[in-house]
Amino acid sequence: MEKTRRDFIKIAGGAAIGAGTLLSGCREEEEKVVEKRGEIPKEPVKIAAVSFLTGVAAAPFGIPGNNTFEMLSEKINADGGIMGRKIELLSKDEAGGVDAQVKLARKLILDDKVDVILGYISSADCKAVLPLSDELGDLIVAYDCGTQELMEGSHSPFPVPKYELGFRTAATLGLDNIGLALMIKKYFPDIKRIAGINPDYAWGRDSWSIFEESMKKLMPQVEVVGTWWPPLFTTDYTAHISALIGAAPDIVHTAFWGGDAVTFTKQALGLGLFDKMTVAYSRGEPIPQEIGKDFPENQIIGCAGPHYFLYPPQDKWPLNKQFVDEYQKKYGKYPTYPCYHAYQAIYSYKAAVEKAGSLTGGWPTVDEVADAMTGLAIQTPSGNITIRADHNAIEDGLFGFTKLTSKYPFPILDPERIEVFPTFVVNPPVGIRTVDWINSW
Amino acid sequence: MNLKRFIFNKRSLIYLVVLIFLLIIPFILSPFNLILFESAITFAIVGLGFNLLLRYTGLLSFGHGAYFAAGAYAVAMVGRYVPSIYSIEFLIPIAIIASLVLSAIFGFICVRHTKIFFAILTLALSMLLFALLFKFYSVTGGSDGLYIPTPSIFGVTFKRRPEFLSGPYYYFLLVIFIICYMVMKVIVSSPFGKALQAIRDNETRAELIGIRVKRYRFYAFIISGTFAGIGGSLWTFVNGHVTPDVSHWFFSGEIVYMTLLGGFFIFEGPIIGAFVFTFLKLYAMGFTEYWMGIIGVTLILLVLLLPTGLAGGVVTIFNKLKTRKVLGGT
Repeated sequence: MEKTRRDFIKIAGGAAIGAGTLLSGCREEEEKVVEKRGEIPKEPVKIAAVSFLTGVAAAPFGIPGNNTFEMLSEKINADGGIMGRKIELLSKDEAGGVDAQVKLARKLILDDKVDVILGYISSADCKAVLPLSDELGDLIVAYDCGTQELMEGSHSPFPVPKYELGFRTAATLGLDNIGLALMIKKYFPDIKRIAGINPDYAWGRDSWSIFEESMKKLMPQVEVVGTWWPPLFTTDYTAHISALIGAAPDIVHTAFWGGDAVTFTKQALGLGLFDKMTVAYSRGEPIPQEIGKDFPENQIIGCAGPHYFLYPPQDKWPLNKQFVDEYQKKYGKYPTYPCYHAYQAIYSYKAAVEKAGSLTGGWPTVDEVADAMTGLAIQTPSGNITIRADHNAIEDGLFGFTKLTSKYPFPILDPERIEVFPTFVVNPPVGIRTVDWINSW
Repeated sequence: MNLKRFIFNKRSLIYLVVLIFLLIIPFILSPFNLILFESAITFAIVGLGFNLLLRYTGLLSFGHGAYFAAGAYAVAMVGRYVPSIYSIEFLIPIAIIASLVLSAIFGFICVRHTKIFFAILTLALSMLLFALLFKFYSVTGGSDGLYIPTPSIFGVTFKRRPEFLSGPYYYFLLVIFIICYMVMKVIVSSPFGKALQAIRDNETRAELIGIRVKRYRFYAFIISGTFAGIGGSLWTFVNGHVTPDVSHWFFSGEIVYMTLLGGFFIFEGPIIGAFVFTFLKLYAMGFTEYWMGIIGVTLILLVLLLPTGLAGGVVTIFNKLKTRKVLGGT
């Protein structure tokens, strides 16, 4: 009895392997789909938009980003869609961690069969999801996340692009942190002590390392008196703030964003941190509007590129005025940088499809869209962006100091002390790692 | 004679039907569901190992995520630091060694205790591993985790992952699963397996008849941990990414949950549990944001209505029908 069962399993196991090889050969036939040129499908183009819709990062980041996607796809649809196809927007939640996002992206591509995913605020999610673009053969556009590692290789010069079908339509955090160092060199040439408090994952770690490298090059006399790494979405920073006050730096670097930035700032206000030092927020642009009048003056703010509702000046750049007016009318707030990033993502996709479509005469394949997107330059409310051969966009960097005015219920960037660093000063050349570029200065 | 007995044996008939079903699965399921099915197979392997401790040795481990993570991170680390040997035939043995070593170290400490003390110790040690994986950002990628490239199988490479997952990997996985199933079946029906059950039923008596209790428990722990490691390493290729979450006790709790869901009184119970849980979780997640609530309610219902799990429930119904038939006949 025992013997026969084992025999059976042996035979069955052999049969399984044999059948498996045979059957897997047959499958390939099915997957070849013949493409007809010159035809544009009637059904809508499916765009998945993934941002934080729940949790602490939702209100200041995910929801403004998602609002913009909704507003702009309505606008594009009202103007006739993309090559005549209406946009069907699938808004998805970025909450739940890296693992959940990998599963979601896989589901969107394989099950929902979306044409493109525009998404991701968290650098960790970007790093995990972008490889899926080439693996599953669909376009994924990172719209907001910042880690420079996303598109960089392990040593300079690295081959580009890293992902054939993966793009990022915004600049990296290199811009934010090199820009902060340039600001500090210009406005605080005599400081001696700096410190850092950053969230403990890709975004925080990489932000600090770029900032530290830049400071070493630009101001070698400055000493780092401490670094703190609270986990992402920490709710109580009082211990960190006390330690910071104890370490007594002149300037504190932070890459906090979303709910973390708001929580940290409110608790730091309560403990009097801003009386003793200046805080340099690498992507602080949305925070004053989120906190209101209480947000301290004279803090250094980065805008994740040149993204600001007052820059470029609305009388000189009508696209910005139009965008700010439409957004404010619909949602009652001024657009923040995630909104501008969302604009760049959806319009880059539209422009790339139309460019490829005009060449091929029909709805382009993902590979054709990817080709068209490489080297694409479009006008945006913040000026213009160029997507380079490394599939990453480059932008200018806007920085300033907070100042309360009578016109707005929150501090704005002091018009007297606004700095715009040109693209080539804050973005490394194609194929060179940001760190290596800084060290070559 | 042998062949005749083999064909007319009800049990082997069931095996045959299940096997044919498993062989044609890639043609029935959509690519997305096939990937889910594959991850369920890897959990089934973990469940097999887990049940050796729970059902046959009477030890409830709340830290099996740690050995799962050992297997998964072994693959990820090789991918990151030694990409030249990134081929599945090297990766699986490396993962086996990693999880074996880790379960030997942790097991050495844990098997000195039983019941709640054992559960707490396993939980604590797995959280220790979680903290290490989480904090050593430069080595392990911290909370970002590590990316798992598509491996080659016996020299054959694949460009896109669906191509790899849809055919070749599924059958590879199936073969490993069948091997694991048979190995575990042999273990539990061997004298070693019987000794474990004796220890579970009465530790003192087992010791008095000459069974070396702690050593046997230690062996069971290592085997169980290694199965979790095999499952973990196979799972990484399906998932494509690994984060420290797999060593968190939440994840270990999921392993316990699937075993209970399937029914740990039956050998095949954890396997059924792994499949049901994988699909239940995904569809609950797609259905509502509060999917954890659905999982929780299911667990409560399970404990109250089906304490022997799904497999146990089916067997009970089957037995009742059988008794009724017999009664009807008399």
